[in-house]
Amino acid sequence: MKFEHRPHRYEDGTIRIGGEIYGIAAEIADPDGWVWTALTLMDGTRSREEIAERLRLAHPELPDATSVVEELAATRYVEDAAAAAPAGLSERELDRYSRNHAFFRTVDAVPRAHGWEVQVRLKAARVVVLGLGGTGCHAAWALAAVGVGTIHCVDPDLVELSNLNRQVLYGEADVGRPKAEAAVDRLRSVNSDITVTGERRRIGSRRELDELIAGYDALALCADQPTGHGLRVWANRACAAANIPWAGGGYSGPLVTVGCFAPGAGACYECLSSGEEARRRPGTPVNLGGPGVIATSAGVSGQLVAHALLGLLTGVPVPPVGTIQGVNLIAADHHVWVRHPPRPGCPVCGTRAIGPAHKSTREMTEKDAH
Amino acid sequence: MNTNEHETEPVDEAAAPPKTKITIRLLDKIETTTSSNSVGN
Ligand SMILES: [Zn+2]
Repeated sequence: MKFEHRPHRYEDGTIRIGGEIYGIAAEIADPDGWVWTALTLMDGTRSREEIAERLRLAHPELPDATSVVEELAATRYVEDAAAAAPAGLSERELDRYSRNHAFFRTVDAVPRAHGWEVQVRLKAARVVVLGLGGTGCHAAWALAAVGVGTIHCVDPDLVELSNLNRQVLYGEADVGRPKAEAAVDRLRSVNSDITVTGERRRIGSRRELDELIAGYDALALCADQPTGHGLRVWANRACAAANIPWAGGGYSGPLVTVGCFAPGAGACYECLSSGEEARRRPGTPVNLGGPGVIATSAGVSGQLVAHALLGLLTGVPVPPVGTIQGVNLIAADHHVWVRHPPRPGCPVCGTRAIGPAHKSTREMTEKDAH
Repeated sequence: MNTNEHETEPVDEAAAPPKTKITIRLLDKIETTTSSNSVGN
């Protein structure tokens, strides 16, 4: 049994397993007490065969003790206590990422060999963070801290004093420095076990974005220039062409949203935004501009982008592909959850365009039916 | 809610032992906690 999922038995014999969080917690009906006996035996000291043998002795009436053990062993609540940590992570990394390990193990819906698979995938991942403002700073910090192995940071601007209210990678001594340079220094100081690179650069065309993301596994779109849909449409098309997933975040005053997209899975950005436009009253001005931003809204935005990317890169937790989600920081009852079907014939996500789902999401989510 | 208790599938051949099924039911939102009191840091 994973420690954090250890079971509890109610008076009527029903077993609660997996704690108390929606999406993980479950109940098992166990009127004859077989399951409870099996779970109690799964304490990390016995093989499956020994557990089945003891279960058989305790419950001679049980038709098939082996299949009880096998069924339980196939759930998210157990792991192989004898499995060694993977060779791909150093002692230092096993220590640094120990809380990651516990978190991913808790939320992972798929039983795995040793529980470090997600961290190993992150270490192998290569991500571009485009834009190092409020969203990009927080996203890049989170990706570095969690252990994404290669991060490339891109921004054309210099650090200004007015950035310091929210852009977490810079200090007063960085004012006047290129953001890409200051961000790389800071991220390397946060995590020297990963590779961080950067460039001072403005992306001015779809072609330039194609070049930028070549060879990377995912894009964190955290830039707001060029304004409007331009950059996001480029990202939508460039990532589809490169067959890599992307997440894009931002804020409009207190409204913070993140979109999560993967080629071959769900609606693309252009389909979602056109679905949203169709809901609006015609003539509604959508971008009044300049609503301001503070550390908290920028932080939520960047962290949501990073969290979406973790799911896109590893499948843990399963990412909400083809959706935009978000929060309204002045209205606790307003949770944004945008879903629209792909538009028929959409060249990016429509039926003609659907290829194989990109590798990470496909491999890591196909078995998540339970 | 727990109507599916242990079931034993009928089998045709005496050679194969009957399979014992376990029903694991994910809890609904309303049955789970809304508290996020820190249990670590
Ligand atoms: Zn589309």
